[in-house]
Amino acid sequence: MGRLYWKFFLFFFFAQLTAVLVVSLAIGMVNDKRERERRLIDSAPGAKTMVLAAASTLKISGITSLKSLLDIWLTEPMPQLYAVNEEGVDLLKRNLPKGINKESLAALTTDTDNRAIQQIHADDGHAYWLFVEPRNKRPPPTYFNGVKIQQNFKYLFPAMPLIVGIFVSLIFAAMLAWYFSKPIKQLRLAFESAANGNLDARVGTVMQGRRDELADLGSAFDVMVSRVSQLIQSQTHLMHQVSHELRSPLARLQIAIGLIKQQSTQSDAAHQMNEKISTSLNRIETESVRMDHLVGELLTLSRLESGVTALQKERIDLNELLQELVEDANFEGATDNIKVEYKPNLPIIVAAQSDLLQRAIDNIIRNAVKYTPTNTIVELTTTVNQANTSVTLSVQDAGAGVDENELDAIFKPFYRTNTTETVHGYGLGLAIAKQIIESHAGVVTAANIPNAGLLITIELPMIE
Amino acid sequence: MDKILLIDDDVELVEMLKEYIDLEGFSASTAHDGEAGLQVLQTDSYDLVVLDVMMPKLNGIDTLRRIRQSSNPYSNMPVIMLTAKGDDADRIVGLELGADDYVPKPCTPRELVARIRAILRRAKPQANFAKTITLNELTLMPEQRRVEWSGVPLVLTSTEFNLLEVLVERAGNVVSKQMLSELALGRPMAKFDRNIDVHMSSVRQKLSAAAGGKQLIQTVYRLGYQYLK
Repeated sequence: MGRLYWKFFLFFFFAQLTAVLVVSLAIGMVNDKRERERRLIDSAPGAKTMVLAAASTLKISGITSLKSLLDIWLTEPMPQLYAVNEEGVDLLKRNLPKGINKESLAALTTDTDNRAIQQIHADDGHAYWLFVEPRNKRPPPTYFNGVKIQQNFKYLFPAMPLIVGIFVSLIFAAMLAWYFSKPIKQLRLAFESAANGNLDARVGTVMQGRRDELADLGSAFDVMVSRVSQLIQSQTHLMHQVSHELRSPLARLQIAIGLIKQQSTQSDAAHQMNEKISTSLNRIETESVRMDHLVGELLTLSRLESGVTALQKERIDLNELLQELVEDANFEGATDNIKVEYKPNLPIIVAAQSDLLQRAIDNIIRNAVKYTPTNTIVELTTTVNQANTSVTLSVQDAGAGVDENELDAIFKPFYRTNTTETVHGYGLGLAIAKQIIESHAGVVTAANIPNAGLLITIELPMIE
Repeated sequence: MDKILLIDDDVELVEMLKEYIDLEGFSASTAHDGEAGLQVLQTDSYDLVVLDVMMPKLNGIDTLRRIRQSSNPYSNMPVIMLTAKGDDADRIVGLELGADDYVPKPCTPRELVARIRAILRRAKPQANFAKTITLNELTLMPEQRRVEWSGVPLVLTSTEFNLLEVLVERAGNVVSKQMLSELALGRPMAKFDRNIDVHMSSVRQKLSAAAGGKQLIQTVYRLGYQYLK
């Protein structure tokens, strides 16, 4: 369940809960008012009988008979009946029970359910409310979870409807949240899959049977992905064709050169062959090989950039890989007395396609060896971060560094420093390295270190 | 004189290559697509085939698959694939199907001839190695270039046979990839070279299938391979 699910869920739940609370509170308040009014007088069956008796006495025998009846009742140890006229004055001039006045009596009389109060017109021209005083002045306290609470709290928050309301709103909120967040999750998974290069990702099948805006979004996604996939396919196809076509003439050229050289070494004509022609032939051969390499590098780069070929990752110990590469680099740097130093670390396991990662790091080391002056050292260090989740490899040369504004540009294809000095290469090494590192979820950056040279840093995620 | 069949759709290239190879002391024939190549193979016997991957009608990969079908009398003849450089997928598929080696195209003819020589040298039975090696159920007959497991013949390509031979001769010891490359392929190991690994995986599969699932060849990480005694 994603964040979105919980957000939907909580919003729906709170909305429904608020609605339930407000409604039950309103109902509770109405009930409570009624209850409180009712409790001002006694509404037990005994009291109703007394009210009925008093009412008949008043209707049949008149006000004086009622007065003598009340006088008799007054001597009895029982709840007393009051007869209050429209001015709020009791027939026996007694003080009215707490909370009783003419307004509350009028309100009680309008409550049709309440038969414990009656208003009767008497023969003296007044209308009398007849009711019995409540047995207890206060309602008995109720205990809830051991805490004493007011009885009327129960009426303010009706427990049963509330519990049912919460339960039902939980279910509905969960269902609604699921209904909205599920297609979004499916879409997100499809997007992720497509972003990782799987252009066969479709959501139409998993969203089948749904007919709304989210389903439309899903089918729009499917259309987009198949279009992109088509474009990439045709581009890759074109790339293959172009490379094939470019290489055919190169291949023929190389064989033609080979033939001339072969014939010249096998016949006596060799010795008569102009030295200049033979030098030129060697030059042509070298250049054709160079051109071939260039086409190859370009192909590699564009293939990496399009990300069409899925990586075949395996567990690689970066430490061992570096030791191998450093050995080779030292061998090559020996002619200029350039040393490549690396202090072996503990095993550093990364998930990578081994030939690609080797190539990336090799390109960066070679680049450093190329630009570092003779008799200097190229230093490699690896540091594993605290959480053991990533490793940083830094390659430090002793060269002149790069213009601060161009630090990012060195990773672009065909970038050359503005030096007149010719350095062999095609300007694609670092671009390829960057593509490889990024396709392995890594980051590569360059920085100038004052009085030292260029520092290239690679950060790669580790496994375990 | 060793007979070599060149199968490539680039007619001009093949003609020049034939001329070059002939001058190097071989007898080369040519075919311009996979189907034509297979027909030529059926009518005449050759010592080695150079096969281009990208061809019309029947491409190199499918042609190789047909050549390697065990019903053919020439099913384990040495094959060198010409692959587009950088196209690792083609290369690996080719090796997995049992190509003996690959040469990235375009290549200098000198390089190609060197590979042809290396493979032919290894593919031929050598007089001084003509002794049959027997190790438990495994029998290696270098003079016939045949392998048997408990009397049942095992079909290996030329390079696979070489690799197995090198390992069995040193059974119990770890043989480095560099050494395997030099002894079995006849050339030093190149950078980023997966050649040995792919061939070795094929040898292990075939051997394990014949030996009822037993793993006889062990990978020793970073060092190489070992045939378990």
